[in-house]
This record gives sequence, structure tokens and C-alpha cells, in this order.
Amino acid sequence: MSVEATLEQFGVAEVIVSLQAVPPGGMEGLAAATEIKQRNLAHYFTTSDRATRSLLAATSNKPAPGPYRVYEHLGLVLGTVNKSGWAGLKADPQVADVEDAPQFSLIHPIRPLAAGAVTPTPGPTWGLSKLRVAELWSRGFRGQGLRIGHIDTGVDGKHPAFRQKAIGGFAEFDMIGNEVAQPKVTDSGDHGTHTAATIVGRPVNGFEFGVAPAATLYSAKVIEGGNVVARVLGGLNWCLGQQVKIISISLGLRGYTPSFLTLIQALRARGVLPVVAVGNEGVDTSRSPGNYDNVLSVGASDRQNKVATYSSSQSIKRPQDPLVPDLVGPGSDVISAQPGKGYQLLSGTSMATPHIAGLAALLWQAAPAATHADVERAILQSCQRPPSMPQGRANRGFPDALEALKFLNPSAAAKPKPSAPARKPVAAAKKKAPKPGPAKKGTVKKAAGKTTPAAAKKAKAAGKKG
Amino acid sequence: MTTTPSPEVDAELTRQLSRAAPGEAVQGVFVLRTPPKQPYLTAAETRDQVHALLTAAQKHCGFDCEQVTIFENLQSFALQAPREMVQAVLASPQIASAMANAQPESLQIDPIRPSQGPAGERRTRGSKAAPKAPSPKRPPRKKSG
Repeated sequence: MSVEATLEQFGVAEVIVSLQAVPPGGMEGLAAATEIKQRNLAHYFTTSDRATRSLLAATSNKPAPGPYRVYEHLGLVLGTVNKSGWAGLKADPQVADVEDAPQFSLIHPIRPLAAGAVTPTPGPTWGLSKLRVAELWSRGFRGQGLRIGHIDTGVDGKHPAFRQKAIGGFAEFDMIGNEVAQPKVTDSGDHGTHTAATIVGRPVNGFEFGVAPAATLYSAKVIEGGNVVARVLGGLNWCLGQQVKIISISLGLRGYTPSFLTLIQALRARGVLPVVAVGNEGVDTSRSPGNYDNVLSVGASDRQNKVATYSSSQSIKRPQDPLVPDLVGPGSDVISAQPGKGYQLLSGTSMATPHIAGLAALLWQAAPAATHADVERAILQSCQRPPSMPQGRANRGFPDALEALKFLNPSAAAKPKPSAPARKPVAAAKKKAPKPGPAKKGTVKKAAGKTTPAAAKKAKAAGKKG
Repeated sequence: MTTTPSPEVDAELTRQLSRAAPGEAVQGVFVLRTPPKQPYLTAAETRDQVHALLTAAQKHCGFDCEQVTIFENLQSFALQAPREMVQAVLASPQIASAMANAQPESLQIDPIRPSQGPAGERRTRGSKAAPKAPSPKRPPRKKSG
């Protein structure tokens, strides 16, 4: 909103005033000049409830500030003006420029015009089928005993997808990162319920949408369209206390900021695999921490084996593993739980990330002694990149659950468990049974055949991630 | 002799500090440096380091912090304190990185919502080729110029 429009609507506006001409003497001279000039400009500024609220936003329990503030070393004055003050500042020869002061703004979801709810039909989602998750389920790996952290908007604990103790723990955090006492297992939006169910959702009426439907989720409610870092740290800290092995993080700050690097190192040093969404802003963009080389960075693909146009990708200036995301997962048109009893379609790297987190859980169950680096390496080595996925967008490509299992635990991959659940997974039924034979040899051959030289190099580099 | 590198401070915290009046509170989150030859700080080490550096910062600047939350599993903490106190904390050699608690934009990666209704998923699920929805009739193009 322009200053004029704000003045029209509210009668006052917050502005930044740049003072004219830097005098000789550098910053000291500028500071002195600012001090002098602000006295002459004081009469242009006024107080208002709006200005006071704005300025008090980050200064709780503090007395109300004055109508303007001087940044002597910057040659700037921030203050609130009415229409006559605005006109006076624009005409004042001491003033070089007057602009609308920037305000914090939240990015709100774009709501669909049509209702988002869907009625699913029995069978697995396209994402589960494409990942070949049923191959691991049929071998008895459904995520039993695995604890997965979930940093999101919360989760609707009453949804049938989360029956059978799918939610092992839930926590909510205040604005400075303190755990809120006795939180209700709820979702402040719908994002968290959707991503949580993609990780651990139990099948409902034959509809299969959770990648690791026997795993346990520890969900931290840290975001309500929010911008508060301490809540996220509170959630991560709490997840570590719950002994999680994997943390699914579908959030991040736009661009590259190294501020989370040490945190992620601390996660990995404690044996946790961080699986992080890269962002939804398209080519040559990414978010932190999803663009770090020490996370498993996830982009989004669709059911046609194409990288989604919104899926972020970027080459980061660093010697190791510069390209993000590391891989892509099922992200477009993902159907999962909606707060209440229903289901809805959503798209995004936020939807792809929980698929990969769930896959990591299945693999870890199959190889309990594996490290986070082993699990990560197996997922990366299993990736295939069809011609429809340019390397710059998909990096290593799309993972394959069975191939990853072969890399991680060849003996487990070779033997489908006879005591597998009687219910026949739809995807498994359609696919050929795994061929018997020397698993290790087959694994090596398969891996060599499927992995491009670049991907192999990256996978090798991935071993250094831990 | 080795020198401790400066902490990584995000632009938003720098901006908030520059905008804050003397004595005005600022909220930041701080990550402690990992000592050499150690994978991470333990919970006890984190608590001890935070207490020590806050005490030192208080003595240095003469201000008290208003709120502190220690994330002991993450070798980090959140702090609400007067500008001077936050600046003193930033000068501590134990700090690896710092950022403003309130960021100018949301951390949430918003999903892409379907532009079409739910029927699309229902139609396509389990079928080899999804029947195409009838495309809306376009109005005739107007000739330009």
C-alpha cells in the first residue's frame, strides 16, 4: 500500500525519511547533521495508535516510543505522519526522499476456489506406488519402532489416519520457544495434518497414503503462518529429546542463510537425519535449511515423472554438493489427511518431503544399525533420473524404495517376508516379485546400470554429509 | 595464535538492532560454537555456556535479559533483551551464529492449492488414462489494433 493510500485509509502512515546531502567529515559529520536536522523536522511527525502498536510489536512491556526515531549513522528518520506532515516532508529541502516504511508481512496460503476435499478410493496414492513402497511393506518394513520428528503447523490428532497411536507425542511452543503446557493435538492450519499423514498415516478403508504406517510421529506445532525462529528451534530441540531418528522439515527461509548450519550439524552429530523441503519458488531459488549440503534436500515431481514447475532448484556456491535439491519426491497432487475426517489434494515440496522422511523410516527399520549417512546414501544411490527430469532441476532424480533397500541391506531386500500382512498391497500385486539370486551382485549391477556418472559422484559426496 | 571468526549474523537481526532505540528490547536466537574435536555440546555444556556468557554480557553492558529459552539439545538459545545486551552477546566468542527471532517473512512453505476441484484426483486414480475434463469455451479473440 502506498503512503497516500495508507493516509487515505488510516489518516496516518509510517515513513522513512532520507536526509539531504552528506556533509564533509564522513559518518561523524552525518550524525551531527542528522541530529540538527531532526529537530527541524520534528513538527512533521505525529503519534497514533497504529504507529505505537507497530513499534511496540517487538518491545513488549515497554513504554510507548516517540513519534519518530533518528538513525544518526544512517541519515534516516523513521516516524509517523499525517497528511500535512507527509506534504511538509516532501516539500522540505532538507529531505532527499520519503518512503513508506517496510512492515512485517506474512505469506498466507492461496485458498482454492473450489472445495479442496476429495473422496479417496482404495489403494495406494500415486506417490506410494511410484516410490515402490509396497515392496518394503511386503517384506515387513512398515516403520515399526521408528520415531519421526515433524516440525509443522501441528496435526489433527482426531483424524482416523492417526489412530493406533500414530502420534507418539505432541508439543506446542510460544514465541520465545518455550513449550506450552498441555497442548491440544490440533493443527493451526491444514499443512501439518497433510504432511503428518503422508509420513505415518494409517490406511483408512483401504486407502493407503502414509509411507510408514507403523511408525510413530512426534509432532511439534511451531508455525501458524509464522515467522518466529525460536518456535522452530523449540520444536527441533523437543524432537531430539524424544529420540527421533528422522525429522521432516517442510519450512524454511527464502534464499541462503547460514544461520541454521550449526543447528543442522548438531542434529546430525546426534545421529538424526534431517529431511528438508527446498521450497516452492521455482528455478534458481531455494530456502534454508533446505539448501544446505548437510540435509537431505527434497524437491517435487509429478506423476508424469516431471519436476514440478514450482519446485525450487539452485546451484549454491560451495565446493561440495552445490546443487539443490538432492532429489525429488512425489509432490504434485498429493492426497492426504485434512483436519476433520476428510482428505485433500495439495502440491508442493512440503508434500514431497514427508514421503522421503517416511521412506527413510522404512529403510532404517530394515537396517537398524545403519547410520543417518547410510540411510541417506542408500536413498540417493537408488535414485533414477529419467530424461524428463533435467539434472539441474532434479539432481539425482527420484528414489526407489526397493533399490535403496538393496543398497542398505541386500539380504532383507532379497527375501520377501512370508508372514507379511494378508492384505495385498495393490502396487505390489501388480509388480513382479523380486528375482532370486545373489543380492549383492544384483545390487551392484543394478546400481551401476541406473546411476549416472554425475549421480554416482554426488552419491559418493553424500557420504561425507554426515 | 588463532582468532575466533565472527558469528554469522542474519541481516534481519542487524536491521532490528540498528532500528532499536537505546534500552529497547530485541529478540534473537543464538547458536553456540561447537568446540574442536567434539561433535556437539551436551545439554549440560549448553546450559553452562549460556549462563556464563549471559552473565558476562550483563556485567559488560549493565542490562538484564528479559526472557531466555535454552534449547539444550541444539546448543542454542533464544533471548529477549535490551539492544545493548544482545550486542554484548553477539560479541561473545562462543556464538557461532545469530538471527532475528521474528523474520520478515513466513517460514512456512505454502502448498500449491489445486485450481480445479477434487474430481480430478478421483477420476485419475486407478485408471490408465484420465478422461480429460471438457475445456471451457474461450471467448473469441479480439483483434488488436
